[in-house]
Amino acid sequence: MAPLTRSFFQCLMRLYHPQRQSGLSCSLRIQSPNRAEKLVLLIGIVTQAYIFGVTSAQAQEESIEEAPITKYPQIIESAEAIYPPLALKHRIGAQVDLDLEISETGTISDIVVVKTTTVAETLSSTIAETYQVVRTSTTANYGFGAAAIAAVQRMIFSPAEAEGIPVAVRVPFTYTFELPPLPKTPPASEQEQQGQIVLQGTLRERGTRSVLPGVVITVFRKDHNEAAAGYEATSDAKGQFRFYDLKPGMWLIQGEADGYYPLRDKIDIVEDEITEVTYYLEKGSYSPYDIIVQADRIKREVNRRTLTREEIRTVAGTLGDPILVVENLPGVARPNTGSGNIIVRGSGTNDTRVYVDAIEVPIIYHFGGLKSVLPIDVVESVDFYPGNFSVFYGRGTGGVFDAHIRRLQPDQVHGAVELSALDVSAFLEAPIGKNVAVASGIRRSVIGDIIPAVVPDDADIGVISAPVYYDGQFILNWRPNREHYFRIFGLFSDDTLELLFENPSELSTQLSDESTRTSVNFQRVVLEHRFTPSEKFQNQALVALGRDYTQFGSFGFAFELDSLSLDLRNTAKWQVSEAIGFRLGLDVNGSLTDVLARLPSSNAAEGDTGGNPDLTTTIAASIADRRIIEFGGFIEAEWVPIEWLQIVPGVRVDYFELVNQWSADPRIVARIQLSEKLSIKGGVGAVYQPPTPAESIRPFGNPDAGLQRGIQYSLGTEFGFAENIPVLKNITVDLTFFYKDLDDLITSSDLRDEDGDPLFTSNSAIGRVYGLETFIEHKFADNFRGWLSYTFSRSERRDSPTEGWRLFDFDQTHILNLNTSYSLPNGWEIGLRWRLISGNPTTPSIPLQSGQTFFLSDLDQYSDVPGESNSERLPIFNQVDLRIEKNWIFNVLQFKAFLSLINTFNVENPEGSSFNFDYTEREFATGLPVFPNIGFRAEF
Amino acid sequence: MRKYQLLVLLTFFVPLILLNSGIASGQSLIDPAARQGYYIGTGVRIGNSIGDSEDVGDLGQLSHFGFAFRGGQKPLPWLGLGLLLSSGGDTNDDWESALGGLMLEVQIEPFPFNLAFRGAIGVAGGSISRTRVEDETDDDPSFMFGSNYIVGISYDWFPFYNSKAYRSGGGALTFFAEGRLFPGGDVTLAGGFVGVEFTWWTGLNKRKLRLPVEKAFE
Repeated sequence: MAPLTRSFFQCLMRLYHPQRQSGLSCSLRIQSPNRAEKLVLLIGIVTQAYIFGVTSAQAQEESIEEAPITKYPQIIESAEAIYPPLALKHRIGAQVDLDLEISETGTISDIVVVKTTTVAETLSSTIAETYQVVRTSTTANYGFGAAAIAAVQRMIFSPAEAEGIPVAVRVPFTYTFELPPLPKTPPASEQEQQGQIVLQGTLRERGTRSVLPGVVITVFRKDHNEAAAGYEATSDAKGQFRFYDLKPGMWLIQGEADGYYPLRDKIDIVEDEITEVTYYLEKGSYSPYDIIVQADRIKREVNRRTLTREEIRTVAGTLGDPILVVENLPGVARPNTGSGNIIVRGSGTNDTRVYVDAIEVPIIYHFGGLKSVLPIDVVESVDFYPGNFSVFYGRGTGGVFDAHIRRLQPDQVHGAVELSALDVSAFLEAPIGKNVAVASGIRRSVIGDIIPAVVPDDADIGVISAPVYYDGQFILNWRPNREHYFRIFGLFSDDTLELLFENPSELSTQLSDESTRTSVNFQRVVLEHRFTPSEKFQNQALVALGRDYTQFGSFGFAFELDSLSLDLRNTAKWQVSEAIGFRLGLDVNGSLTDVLARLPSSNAAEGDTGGNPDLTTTIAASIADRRIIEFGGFIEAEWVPIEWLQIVPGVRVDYFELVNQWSADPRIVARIQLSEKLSIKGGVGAVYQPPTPAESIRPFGNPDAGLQRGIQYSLGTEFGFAENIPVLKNITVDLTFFYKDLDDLITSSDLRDEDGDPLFTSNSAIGRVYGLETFIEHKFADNFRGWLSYTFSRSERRDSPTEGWRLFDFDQTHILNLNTSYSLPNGWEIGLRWRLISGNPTTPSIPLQSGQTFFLSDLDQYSDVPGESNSERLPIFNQVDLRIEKNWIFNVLQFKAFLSLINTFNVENPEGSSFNFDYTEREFATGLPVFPNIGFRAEF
Repeated sequence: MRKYQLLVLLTFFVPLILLNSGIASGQSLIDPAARQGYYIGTGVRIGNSIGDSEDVGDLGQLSHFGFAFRGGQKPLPWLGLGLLLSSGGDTNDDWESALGGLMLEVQIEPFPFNLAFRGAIGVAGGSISRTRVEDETDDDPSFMFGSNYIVGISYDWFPFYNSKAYRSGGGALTFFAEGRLFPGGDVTLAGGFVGVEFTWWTGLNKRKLRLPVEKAFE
């Protein structure tokens, strides 16, 4: 047998033998290979690769000892790993979880890296600058896994034993990389070099302009009469590199970094000159998910879902809006197109509180519900609580949205300009010195200019809307030291909607005006101070000043509201020990309001069955300086008596001046962490909600209207899959059962006061809501992210003790949402959303069903006669939205083009009904047709 | 160790080591080809359509002529994404219509033979009217709007491309056949077309290509 062949088979035997001497390596001695030997080698490589896979699996099965282990492997001789240089430079530690197969002789026969957890050392800005620690915002693999494997392979173990007999076992093993202390003497800012600098440059990341440290740059060339020459340098913490004493002439320069396309260029070195260059390396992927998660947020609430800005941008069908995206989460019903309603776990819009950093805002959507008042550029994340929320929030029986404004930390000036079919916006943020940062944004709608331009004059459309909205934001952060943090945040929003009717009498014979105009605007200025003297205590104080203005006029009706508001919040967090912490707070809201109104006397509420409202009788009111004050205080504890058990009890007390009533909301949630991937959670709590001013202030409402009450229950589980299961390892499942008991709900009423005037409302209704929420999420991995949410929900009301149960107006029994997004190379991103949702309940029309008509002589029109309230349903809602985005990366700029196809298949989903003149024929009013929102965005 | 031994070791063991060490690698480079990078194309098509109206019934067979403008990129060697602007008219003795659309386009190239399967989905709108004014009725449809779907197949012929020159991109004549469905509310149009376009492929930047040294640093 030729020497090569003999050596080759010896190697194969050693790899296959259970008692192989080394892990994956196998020394192969080749003397003088001939052609036949080369062919054998090639065949052997292919065969060996296949057999290795098979025999490894077999060996794994054979080596797993079924008898009970009486003695586990022990380390006889340890080995120290080589700390990855880049991680050392970035001051990154790590813990590498390995899976080892240790043979009967104590040798390592297999090593698998299960997980690598990195931890960035906390450094002050001064230390970081002194020791030139600069961390890039990438998820580059520092090489901890390889280093740990190399170290473990050099270790010697004693074998495991089962009743005295050595056996092979597979055991978990953790290798921890601990950072050595920083040297007492920091490195000199400029090292002494031998020779003269002839070439110096800076490496930056294309598009973001971030510096790239730790990249190896090579210059090389080969002159005709000389040997090839090449030199290497590594970019420092500032991304700078230098070469010395290069001979004049043309050199080739090359640079390679993990995750980047290579740098290739020619450079001409001139004698007695220093050549300076700046290179921009292009990343292979500019995925919005290339961020480091510094720490996991402790899950205090049972049902909080948090979406970050990067996640919100990629959801198809939501136009990148931070509030619209929440409609795709479990527990949220689909509102009618254009309504702007927020329906959470079978509760109405007024029942769900919407906050911006814990400060309530009067409206969250611009007209038509297509965009919220917060552009994505100023939002850091959105928290959504469908129920069982903390006592930090109150005054609502539905859910809670809390959008968090960005905490500015810009390293340089950044900005963005965006233009789409809906609106145009601009955003700019900049540092001022080391401790101050400012940002500002503004946005204006353009859809109002586009609609008249594209809709033909002869189109059979009865209403042409001319909407215009503006909004603007201002943020200023100031951090004078580690203990104090100040922020000013300003927000304004302005909506004007003018509806033009071609034939207003088609809406009602009582209407004659051809247009109506509505204007809604508000402003808020929020001052925030955070005091953090230690890791165990923090106090946050918020003061918000605001003004709200609403004006409506047409058809003989008018409404004008002008209100000033003041919000005060103070929250103190005290972590007494590792096992227990407290949160105490005050929540005060006050407003001073002027109202001028002349409105129809009919006061339709949820559940009303329609018919023909009487628009000829009106109510006029003039209210000046109406004060409304709400005081609230809360205390909450987070108790972890055992490592796997977390209990959060709390109580909130509120006083409502509007109804002169107190409320006390005890609540408790708990989480049991059964394993790393499995937990059980549950909660129960009371919530109270005051009536709206329109429901309780004369002459529009009932002054005796009181608080509405709810008891919220939920019980659920969250689980994931083991890290070694392909695909499933990236999936988490959340199942939650919920029940909500509602009492003293405000409903329309025929009650009258002592003078015989109608009261319009009363607390005579009750409600119940129950269901199951399912949320299956694939976290971002392998360029894919998505979720499937399904909600089964039943929401019922009983308007008085003498009436039976009926469905809630927005009860949607089945709500299925599928959201996916995929990042492709070269800056492409595609996304899809599919929604399949039960139709809303609707009240049948007797004339439609029976053919019998009803004519009202006093109003000179036919009347609808409603059947049993909400006893029918509209057809199922089915809609697919597509989104595609292309990102171009330039040296100092990123340019993005996107196209969102809303309702891609142009399904005519019914939103409501319209009838002919005598209610004997019905036509469904459909929602938004296929709508292409094309846009462009430039960021720098 | 001799150079050959090192080569064998690297060939045999490096892939195994990489599989287990989880070392991140640089961006993969690809071989130059004609159909790479961004594409921009424009051309014409002809064919036949059939139409139907909810109000007036069968519109009969119509002759079609149209043109298109498309642009996009191949993020993957086998996948192209882009936008398609399409416009055209369908006529017969009784009816004449005009339809324009904006669509997302996908091109799938399962084989490296410049043959691609194309599909597009988007929105289209237009108008339709009687050819003779005297035939008009109140029930006639006039305005069309809705989703638009196209599926087809194309072949790019690069007459001047030289694969041995390590070039990427180039100009091509694109021959295609496609079918269209426009379920536009009151009016539905469906048709089959053939056409030709001129397409320019920009190719990839050399830093993304696997090139010999003398070509990489040109």
